[in-house]
Amino acid sequence: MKVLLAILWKDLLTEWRRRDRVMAMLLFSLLVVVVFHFALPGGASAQTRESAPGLLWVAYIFAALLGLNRAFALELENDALSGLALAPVDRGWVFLGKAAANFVLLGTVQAVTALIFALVFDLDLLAVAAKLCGVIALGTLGLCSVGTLFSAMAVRTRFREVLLPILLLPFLFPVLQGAVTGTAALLATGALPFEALQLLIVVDGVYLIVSFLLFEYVLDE
Amino acid sequence: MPSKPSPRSDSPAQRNPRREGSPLGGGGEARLATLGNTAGWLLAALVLVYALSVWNAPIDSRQGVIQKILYVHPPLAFGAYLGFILTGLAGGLYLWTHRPVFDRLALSAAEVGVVFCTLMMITGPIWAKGTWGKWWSWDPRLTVTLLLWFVYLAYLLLRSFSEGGERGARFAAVYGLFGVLLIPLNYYVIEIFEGRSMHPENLQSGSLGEGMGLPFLMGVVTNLMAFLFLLARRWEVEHLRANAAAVASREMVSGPISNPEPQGGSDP
Amino acid sequence: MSYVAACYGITGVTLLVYLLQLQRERRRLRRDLPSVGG
Repeated sequence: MKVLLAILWKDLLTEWRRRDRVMAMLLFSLLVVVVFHFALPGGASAQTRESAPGLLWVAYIFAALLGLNRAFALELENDALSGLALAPVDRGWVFLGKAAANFVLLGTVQAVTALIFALVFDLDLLAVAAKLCGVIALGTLGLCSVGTLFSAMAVRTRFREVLLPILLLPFLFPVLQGAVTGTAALLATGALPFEALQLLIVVDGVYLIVSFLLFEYVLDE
Repeated sequence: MPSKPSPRSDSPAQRNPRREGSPLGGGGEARLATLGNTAGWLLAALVLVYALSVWNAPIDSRQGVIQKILYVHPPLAFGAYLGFILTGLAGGLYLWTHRPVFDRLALSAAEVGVVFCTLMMITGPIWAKGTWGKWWSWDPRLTVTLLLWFVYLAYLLLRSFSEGGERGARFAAVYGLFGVLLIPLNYYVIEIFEGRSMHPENLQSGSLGEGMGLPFLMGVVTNLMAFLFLLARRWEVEHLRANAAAVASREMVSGPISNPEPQGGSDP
Repeated sequence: MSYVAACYGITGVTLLVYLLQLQRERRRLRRDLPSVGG
């Protein structure tokens, strides 16, 4: 548990000092919103509100891929991966620490992006704020658990920026299904359908546990 | 077809002192080759019977001739899923035992499996176009199959982008294992969200029309045999490649090795 | 009818081509590596 907090703290501190990852993710999300405006037939406005939930999660996935690509890059560049691997701790906790850091960073970007979406699509987020945070948190949990595991693999291969999305996206489809359905229902009716919740919880549970268990095979030497 | 005894007058360990230990042992390739040969001859016979049974199968009253794709498309699907499960299992065994033979099995199963999966993805839309008039729909079962195909391809890409060796094998095993989980998970998703499916319902015995049982059975058995035959050959090739690499690296260090007479095997 | 022929044809040809590739490489490797029992 201490390991988890230690790694979480280290990553967040590093990010706070340099802020390059979060800034890149934020700027990218902004740009993506503009792209969406040009991509939608009616532009991004209150009239095209139905597209908002899906597009929001597309933006989140893009941001997540950006962030995850860099998740282990610092360690790799500074030869610190072996340090992580050789530390006399259960590697599962290293995984949780890393995933938690990714979660926090991504969550920050997601909050800002949601606000931008609310502005552009004229959404009333306040009414469903708590539940919305819950759905987004659940979706992001799934994203970060699998994402952190695959990021640790991809960082050691050629073309890692291309490989990570290819590895990760198929696994995100169940998460997306639950998250987008939940978000859409929340924004439209204010009620969260149970199926979406159930799906997210089950998928998150599976992904978290399996990633935790498999991480030791991925962090080495 | 009688099994050929593999002569082991001088032990493989002497000929290849650095070959890593594996459950197949020194005579492993021989046994695999023989298994492959057997499968090959069986397959040839099965294909004949299969072709005859499909040709003589009754024509469905509702769909017409095109319904005969039933005898090739679902069998291909079985092969695709079998390959997938094998890849995951072999990967798991590799993580557990660190024996390269399992890694080679995983790679072989993935390659053969992706061939079957691709064929399934081709025959499916052809059948769909002929019966429902459109090539594709986001029917849940189709979507899960598409996912399976993507995971296969991602697995193979991961292997080719990895630097190879033990780490590459390990990463592939992790991905393959995780992938195997994804498929039941997605069927769970379907169950929860209960999409109305255009896809024909699961076939139970009795839901097939008169006279369709045999060609369907032949389809399944023949495609399965084709899968096993191709798997055996692919696995053997992977072993051979590994041996060739080992010999080549040894020759780089210590000069060419003189080898005993080659022993021929029979190819179907 | 052509749909049926296309399905069986593509399947058969693809599997055959794959098999022939495998056989070719197998023969080449076995020829070059006599230390393999067969």
